[in-house]
Amino acid sequence: MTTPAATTTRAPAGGLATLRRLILYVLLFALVVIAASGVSGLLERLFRTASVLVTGDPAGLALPLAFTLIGGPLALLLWWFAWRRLDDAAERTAAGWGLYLSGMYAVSLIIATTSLLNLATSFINTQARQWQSPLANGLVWAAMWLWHRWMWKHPAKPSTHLEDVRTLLGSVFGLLLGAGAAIAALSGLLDVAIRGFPLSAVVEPWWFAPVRSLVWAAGGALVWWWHWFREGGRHFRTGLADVAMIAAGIFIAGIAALGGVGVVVFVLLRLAFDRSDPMNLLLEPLARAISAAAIGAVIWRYHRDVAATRSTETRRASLLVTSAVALAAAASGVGVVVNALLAAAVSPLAGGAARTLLLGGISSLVVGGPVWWLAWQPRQQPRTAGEIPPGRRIYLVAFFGVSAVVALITLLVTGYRVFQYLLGDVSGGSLLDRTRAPLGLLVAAGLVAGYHFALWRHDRTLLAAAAPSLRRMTGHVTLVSGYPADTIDVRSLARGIADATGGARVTAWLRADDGGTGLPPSSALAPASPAAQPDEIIQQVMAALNGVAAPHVLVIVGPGGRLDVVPLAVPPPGHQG
Amino acid sequence: MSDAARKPDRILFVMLGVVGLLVVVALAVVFTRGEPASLDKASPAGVVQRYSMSVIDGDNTTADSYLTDAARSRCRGGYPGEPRPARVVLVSTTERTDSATVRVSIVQQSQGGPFGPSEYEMEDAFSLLKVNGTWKIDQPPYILTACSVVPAKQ
Repeated sequence: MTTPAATTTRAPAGGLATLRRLILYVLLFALVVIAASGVSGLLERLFRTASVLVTGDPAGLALPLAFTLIGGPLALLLWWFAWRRLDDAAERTAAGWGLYLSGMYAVSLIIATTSLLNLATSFINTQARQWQSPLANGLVWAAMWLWHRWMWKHPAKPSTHLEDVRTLLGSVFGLLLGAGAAIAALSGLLDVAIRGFPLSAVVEPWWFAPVRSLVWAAGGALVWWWHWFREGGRHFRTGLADVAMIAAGIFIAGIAALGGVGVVVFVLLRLAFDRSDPMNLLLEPLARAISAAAIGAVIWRYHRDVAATRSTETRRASLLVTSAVALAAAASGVGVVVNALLAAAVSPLAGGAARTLLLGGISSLVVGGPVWWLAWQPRQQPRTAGEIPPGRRIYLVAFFGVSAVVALITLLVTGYRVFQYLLGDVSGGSLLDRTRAPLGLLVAAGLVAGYHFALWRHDRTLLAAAAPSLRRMTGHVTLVSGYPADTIDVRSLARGIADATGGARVTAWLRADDGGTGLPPSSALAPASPAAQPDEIIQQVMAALNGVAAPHVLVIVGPGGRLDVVPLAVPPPGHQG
Repeated sequence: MSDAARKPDRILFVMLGVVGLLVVVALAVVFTRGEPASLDKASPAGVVQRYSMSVIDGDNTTADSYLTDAARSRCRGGYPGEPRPARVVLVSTTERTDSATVRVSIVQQSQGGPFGPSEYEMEDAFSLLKVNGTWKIDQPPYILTACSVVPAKQ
């Protein structure tokens, strides 16, 4: 306790050190960005010298020169200063360094990847290639990325703090880039298959655009593979890892897959029942929808399997997120169906569009409904308190809350339109036409809110039935402990009793006398050993409290096996004084 | 307890029934709905109706016949990238001796969006003048502009 070494090696006062790090790393970040952009500007000039005939732009060269010659040395100097300090493990685990490293790692990764992929795709083009700028950018930022990766993995002073942030940023970026580009590539191919060659095919072969997207997709997939498998992103078990996986792999991929299938169904329904548009326009969204559905489903399925191997909470959260996306689709479908119904009730001056709208609503209802049924399983809802899984109550409250807010907003909009109708010279048909969208949403939000509120009420009754009756009776416990302070801590005892009673207020006291005298014990307990565990004592207290019906209870425990439970009441006012 | 366990089930089936009923009624109403009711050709709203129908159909020659000469010479045409007008609903008609204003709500529809088509609603007005005893549109809303003539440079 009094080792002098502990005090001499202490880091400088917390606030000052944090401020120093904040300034140091913000400066370093800015200087590194300035130096990198200067060097890449100079490199670009160098690459261009072969093709430039006349140079008449000295000002254009001045900026990269200034950035390189001023930013570069200063950045190196500051980095050398910071890097020397990083021998100290406390400095390496500081938030400032972790954030700097993660930020610069992510920025350099994103710029290097996009520049190099731009460079690669510039060769799949019929127009003049603009390779100088992406090449210069790609080289410089790839070097930055390697440099920061070297610092992160340095054998002598590795920076493991916030390691998961860097790895996950890389894998999420790669996943989104790869998936987006893969959807574009597949949809370019499918579009030609569905609608035939575009008119521009004479200028540029039709496969150029899909191949360009394919190159981007391959780059994204490489980045994702590197971070997810090689850097071990899939092995992280932190909360951030779960959130990133569920947000990118379940939520976004689920929206892409469900939305894609919904649009496919919509186009097919329109082909069957509503050919008001020319065929080419009707089929336009089909290719993109099919590829979004296919790629989204693959990614969603992969992450669902990954989530299944993780903790129960992760698996449960992935199911809830899937159910939420599907329910949103189904509910918006119901809203659009109501909207179309009201639209058909109004006789417009010209045009129609109610049929298209109705088919849109039906398609998203048809897609969202079954997925929601499978993910949520409304027939197998918990029947006892023990079956209520974690996160379920948050989900119920969230859906109830969001749909209540939607209902409120739509009510306000409807009210505004109704008063406009009552106070002005507006026709009744236009009132209905302008309130049909909010009314549709109101119906959908009402159904969602009603269902989730009923489930929430149901869960609450289950929980209340399972909880001990004591919960609502005893509000205040005064605990007097006769155990010596160094054998059993009265505070942990009080906390345990508060938890076990479900939140009763517990006031803890220690006996100041020797505990030998006093009342005889009111309940005959098995004589506890002098070294009784706090858990046992709490169990005994709870057993003794079980039959007591009083808002305030005095509990005297110890020493030994002694336990007194005294129900207390407020004296009637008439007997005072 | 068993009553409490069955309660959400009943609510669920009531809601499923409501949704199913909505879909069936909407299908029946929408698919049995005919053309919009025709208004009197001599009234300002009737002229607006015929003009809007021909614009939505893309029949610019017919649309032009409902415009005044001044409106036809002013016409510049719309931009092609915009969502098309899909639906025009009458809001109000103000008729004076020689001029009239017809306020309409115009719904534009565009495909796209993750969950089906999206709509935009806006309110605008037609200005009409009485030319030789018939109502002609002097100023159509910007979205419902259609021109068959080459835009005149001014």
